[in-house]
Amino acid sequence: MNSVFKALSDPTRRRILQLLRERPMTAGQIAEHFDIAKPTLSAHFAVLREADLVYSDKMGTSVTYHLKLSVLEDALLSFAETVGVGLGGGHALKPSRRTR
Amino acid sequence: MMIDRRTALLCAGMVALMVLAAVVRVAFIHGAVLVARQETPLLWQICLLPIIAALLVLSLYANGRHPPVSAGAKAQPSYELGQRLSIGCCLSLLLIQGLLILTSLDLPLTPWLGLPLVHWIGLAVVIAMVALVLQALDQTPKLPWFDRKLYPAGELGPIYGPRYMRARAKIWLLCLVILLPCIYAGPRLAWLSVLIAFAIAFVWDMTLQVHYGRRWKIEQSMTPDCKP
Repeated sequence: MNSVFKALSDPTRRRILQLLRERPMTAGQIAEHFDIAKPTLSAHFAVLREADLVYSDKMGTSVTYHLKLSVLEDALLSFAETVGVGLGGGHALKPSRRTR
Repeated sequence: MMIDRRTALLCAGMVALMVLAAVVRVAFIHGAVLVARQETPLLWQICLLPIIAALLVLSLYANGRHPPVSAGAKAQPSYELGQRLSIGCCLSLLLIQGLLILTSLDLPLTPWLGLPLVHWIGLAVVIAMVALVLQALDQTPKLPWFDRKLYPAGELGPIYGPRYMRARAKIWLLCLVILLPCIYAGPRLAWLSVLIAFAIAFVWDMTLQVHYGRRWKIEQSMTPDCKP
């Protein structure tokens, strides 16, 4: 459970999970929504994978990420987002995506 | 969630035992002194429990009957969760039926804290079973989605399938949590509440399935030019 709280405490990781709620996405598609370096994004994916909140499917050269949230984890995500846990940290969204 | 043939046979054995116990209690035990008010509710509950167990085992076995070819090792968590749920529920229902049969015979039972010990054991078993079901429902969205034709919605696709699984788990979990206080209600009110809540949850589940099925069909039918 500690790894789940750690994963949900970062706004960037919560945003990644919200994007994956819409549909499975490749790492590249997710990276388009953030203004951060790819190694940093990979580190976020690693934390999410360790917490068992996402899983990845490798097809050819692309890796597709799928959401893997239990009902309780989903509720925790919504709660963390509502309360604004960790705001002030996290990475900026790209201007074109901020209105989403 | 799904179960394989071995688990289905094991659970079928427990269901058969429950049916036998119900038949023996209803048909052959005569002359036992029954508390008049309790007789009918207890007898129909004794007969209803094997039906509930059978329905659960049948639905889980039907899910696992034709696993997708691509499933392979990915299906293992689904089988494990299904096995835990089916065996746990069948054992619990068997125990509850045994306790109901004991109660219906009106045997002199040791009281504890003002109620028969059988009552407390039954309550503990019910709570354990509810906890098992809640845990299984909570973990269901974490299982991999295998695209297959659902009735009545058809295929939901890799986008709406997982969304449907998440929403469906929430619906049934909410239904169960709302029904928790019924453990302490009288049998008639408890079963009526269960019936109404399950009917509402089922209709909600089917509506959601059809809605997501339609959205997937629309997305599939959109030409590449029209797609956003």
